[in-house]
Amino acid sequence: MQMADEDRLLIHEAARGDAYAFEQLMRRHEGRMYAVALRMCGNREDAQDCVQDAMLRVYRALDHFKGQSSFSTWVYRITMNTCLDELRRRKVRASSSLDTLLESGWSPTDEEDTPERHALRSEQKAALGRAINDLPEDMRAAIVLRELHGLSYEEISSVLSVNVGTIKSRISRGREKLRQLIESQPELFGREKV
Amino acid sequence: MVENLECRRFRNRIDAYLDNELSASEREEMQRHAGTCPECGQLLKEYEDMRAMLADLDRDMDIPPEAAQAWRSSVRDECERRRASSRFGWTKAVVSVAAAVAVLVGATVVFRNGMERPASYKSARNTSYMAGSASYDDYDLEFETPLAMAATSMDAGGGANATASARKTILESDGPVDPSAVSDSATAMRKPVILRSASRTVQSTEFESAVERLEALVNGSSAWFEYRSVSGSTFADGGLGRTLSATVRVPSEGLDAFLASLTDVGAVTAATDRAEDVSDRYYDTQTRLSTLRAEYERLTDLVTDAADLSDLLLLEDKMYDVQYQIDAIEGELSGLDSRANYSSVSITLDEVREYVEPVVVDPTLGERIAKGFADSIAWVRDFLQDMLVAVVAFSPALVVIIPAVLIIWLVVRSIRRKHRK
Repeated sequence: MQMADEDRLLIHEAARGDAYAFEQLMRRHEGRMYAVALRMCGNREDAQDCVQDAMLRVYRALDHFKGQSSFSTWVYRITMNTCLDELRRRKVRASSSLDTLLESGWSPTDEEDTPERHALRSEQKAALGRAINDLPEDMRAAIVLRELHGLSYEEISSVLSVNVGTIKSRISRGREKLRQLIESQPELFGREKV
Repeated sequence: MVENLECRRFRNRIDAYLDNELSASEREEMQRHAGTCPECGQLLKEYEDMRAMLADLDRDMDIPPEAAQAWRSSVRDECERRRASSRFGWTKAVVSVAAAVAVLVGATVVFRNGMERPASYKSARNTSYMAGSASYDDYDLEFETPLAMAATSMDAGGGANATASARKTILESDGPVDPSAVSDSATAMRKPVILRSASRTVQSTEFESAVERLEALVNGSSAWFEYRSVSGSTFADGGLGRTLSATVRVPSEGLDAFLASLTDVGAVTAATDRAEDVSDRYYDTQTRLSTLRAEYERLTDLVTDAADLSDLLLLEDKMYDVQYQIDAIEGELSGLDSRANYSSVSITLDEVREYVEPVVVDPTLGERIAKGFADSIAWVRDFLQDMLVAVVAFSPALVVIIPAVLIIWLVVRSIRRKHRK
């Protein structure tokens, strides 16, 4: 992945401590960071704390970023590590707040959606969110990065510092688990089946 | 059975299919099986639907404004803190270095002024100061004379007034100093014996009157000509001018005034001053004299008690030797006294056709720079040497100071940390 010149310039400026350049640089990444943090932590407060912490880590470590991986992968790694640290530190099983997941991440894309259809899709998403949340941490991390953020196995391997084989196995088992969870709720997902 | 095998194969490769990692023929094969086997077809459909939903799940998710605000302000705080700490870091480094230098310089100054140096070191310094022959060629007429410098340094040394006055006694006494009197007090304190000499070159257009003025100056200063000769011939006789060469012995206490007054005789164009410290030699000689006198007295006693003639002759022979040595040493001492009391000034008075511009006085800029630089180097060298000595001298105290500073630092740090929390 070729880093844009603008990014390189912003990274250079931010590494010298320019907070404004850093904000410009991270504007493109903050949404993804938050999404990862929310999926990993399962609630808004923790996700916000994790993003804040991860941003500071990125800011502090910026002058050590030498471009050996893509900047975006590097940011994912720091975000994911921050979340995993946070989960371990608090020893709290990431428990999902139904409200949070219902609220988050939903924007109607189909304007012709009927209210019923809209409501159904919201419920499906919330159920999917809960299903993700019920996965073990390492599996969840791999699934989030692969299925929600579309990273390649190599990128995920780099983010999680785990070899590709292990990542494949985690994703395969993760998919199977999610599918089973979906299968177990035919009243919600059955109607969507074609 | 065949169907089961195919289904198993299908399920094993379903992830690779979903991840688009299969070849075209493998994909085709998978799709063909999904079309023929309803269960596997359903499975694939479920996976594909699920993946589509997952991909769509957070697609439009954006960070909530409060979260965006939160990380921005914490990064700005961090940025401020970093700037402040880098400023503080610099200040701290500069203050630390300045403090260390101040402590080092302070310790050296305290060491130089307050703490007693070994006596031998102190006298060695003064001696070297006085003994060094100072040559001030041509221009440097307004110097501090070595004797004056020696006196100053001794006065500054503290408790040296007695020494100075003792030195004065030696210098002022007219005749040879009574060696026994000196040897008594010499054990209490050694008075420096300094031999001063100077040479001057003077030019004048009016040779005769210059000579007269010089004679008047010599007579008026209680000095005398030890040697004088005139050579050369007048300009009127077609000569190159006359030259008076003279050695004048001047009472040492009046030397400075005499040298200063030479400018009344003519234009002083060259000047050299020397001061030699012969104290060691002087007092060693005196000690030898006392020993010899004591021996002479013992021999005198033996002579009166001598029983036979051969003893007497032997004793008288010995006494003759001792007396000879005493005479030689007294001569040497009186020579030194004479040279200490009467400084020797070599004067060359040249007759010149034109009054030559009084050479001198101002050294060139280059010379001044060179002299100033050399003086500074010498000062810095002395100071650094003293600093080294001071550091070594104070080092035993560090055994106490370092743990104390360490404890204070640890306490301050822990207080600060608590405060920060």
